[in-house]
Amino acid sequence: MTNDYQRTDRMADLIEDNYHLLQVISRFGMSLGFGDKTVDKVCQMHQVDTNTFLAIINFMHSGYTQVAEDLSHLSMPALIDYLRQSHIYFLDYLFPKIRRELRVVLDNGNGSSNSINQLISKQFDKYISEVRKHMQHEDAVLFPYVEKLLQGEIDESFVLKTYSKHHHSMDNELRELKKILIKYSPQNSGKNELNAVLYEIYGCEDELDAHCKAEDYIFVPAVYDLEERVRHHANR
Amino acid sequence: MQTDKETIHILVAENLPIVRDGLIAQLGRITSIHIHAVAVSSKQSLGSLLAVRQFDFLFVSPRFDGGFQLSDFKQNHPNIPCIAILSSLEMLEKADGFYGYISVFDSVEKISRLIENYKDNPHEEHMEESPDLLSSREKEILINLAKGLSNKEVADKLFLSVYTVMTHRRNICRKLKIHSLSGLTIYAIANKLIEM
Repeated sequence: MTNDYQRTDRMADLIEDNYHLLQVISRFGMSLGFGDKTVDKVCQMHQVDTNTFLAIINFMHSGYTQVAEDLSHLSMPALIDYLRQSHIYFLDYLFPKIRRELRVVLDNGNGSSNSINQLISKQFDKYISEVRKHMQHEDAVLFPYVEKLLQGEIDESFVLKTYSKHHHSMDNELRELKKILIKYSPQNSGKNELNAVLYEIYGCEDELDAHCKAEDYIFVPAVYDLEERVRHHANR
Repeated sequence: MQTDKETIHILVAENLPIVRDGLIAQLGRITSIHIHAVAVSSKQSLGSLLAVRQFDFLFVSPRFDGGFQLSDFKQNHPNIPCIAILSSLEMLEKADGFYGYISVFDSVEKISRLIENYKDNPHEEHMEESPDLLSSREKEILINLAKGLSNKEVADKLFLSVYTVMTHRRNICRKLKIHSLSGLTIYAIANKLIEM
């Protein structure tokens, strides 16, 4: 696929081409100021596996529609590291930020709509807690499972296939929250501020969707490939 | 409301980039159904994705990655309808056995009709195939496993790769909801597949 980004491309050109890649870059531990360095060079400087980096950004660049040809070349430790950093980004940075902004907007509204404010806050917290549960479960169960797999151990009680189904429940809570905000926001809360928060929530949803898709279509299939290799090795 | 509709997950397996990207773009334009489509360009990634995710449809070129083995696929994934992608009219004869086909000359409406027809009448083709029942290949493998053969020995005996045997074995376990070899043996005896 010649449309894909290559290791010899300049990192700065990539970002100019598609600013959504910024998300990926910071989560791989890279910071801006690339000069004219190539993708490969920047990856080496930050000790990131170049193939893995390219697989993620090319998947994103295709609008999450084109899966890499060979997932077995990807570095599992690099993928896990990337996903862990994403979790930290959502749980420790983005959610608290949106929550703070939402509070400000709601508090500025008239006190008479208190019950609606509470409902909105509660729904947002419900959503966050759903996502948190899911991410913590991955950190505590899925990633350690894969780390063991890398050492050649298979935990037979773990079923990979059921994994991506978890993503549905998060979507539902978020959909509910957006509906409430759009339909029942207190009339006198600041229009611009409220719109800005709603925009942020949509942006957050997109980012989370990107994260889940990278898990569903790159990480989990790659784990499956690894499982097969470990099993094959054990059966010989 | 589009957001409340269930999403149809489609896997596209096609090597020609223009056909592949064009199909994905057209699927995205269907408004009556909410679709998420993702494409693969090698057998390897096709296999890995099918192993870990549920798909409602497979759109695949009969020439995919050196030739798509429809019968193998049907055996391993009896519940996923296959729709052939035909990039030329000469390929029409290759669409035999597929649930349906779309060609590069077709309109988007034909694609959405295919999907909707299937939803209305899903078992047109698979009437005799209940998802809980084992295919004859699966039975054959189960019998050999129950007799005490290893994956490797079964593979050698049936001229299959160990991978294929393991895939069948996983499918058998999933269908029967039995996950131990002794459990499978008991099942085989109880259903008179083998005699003691």
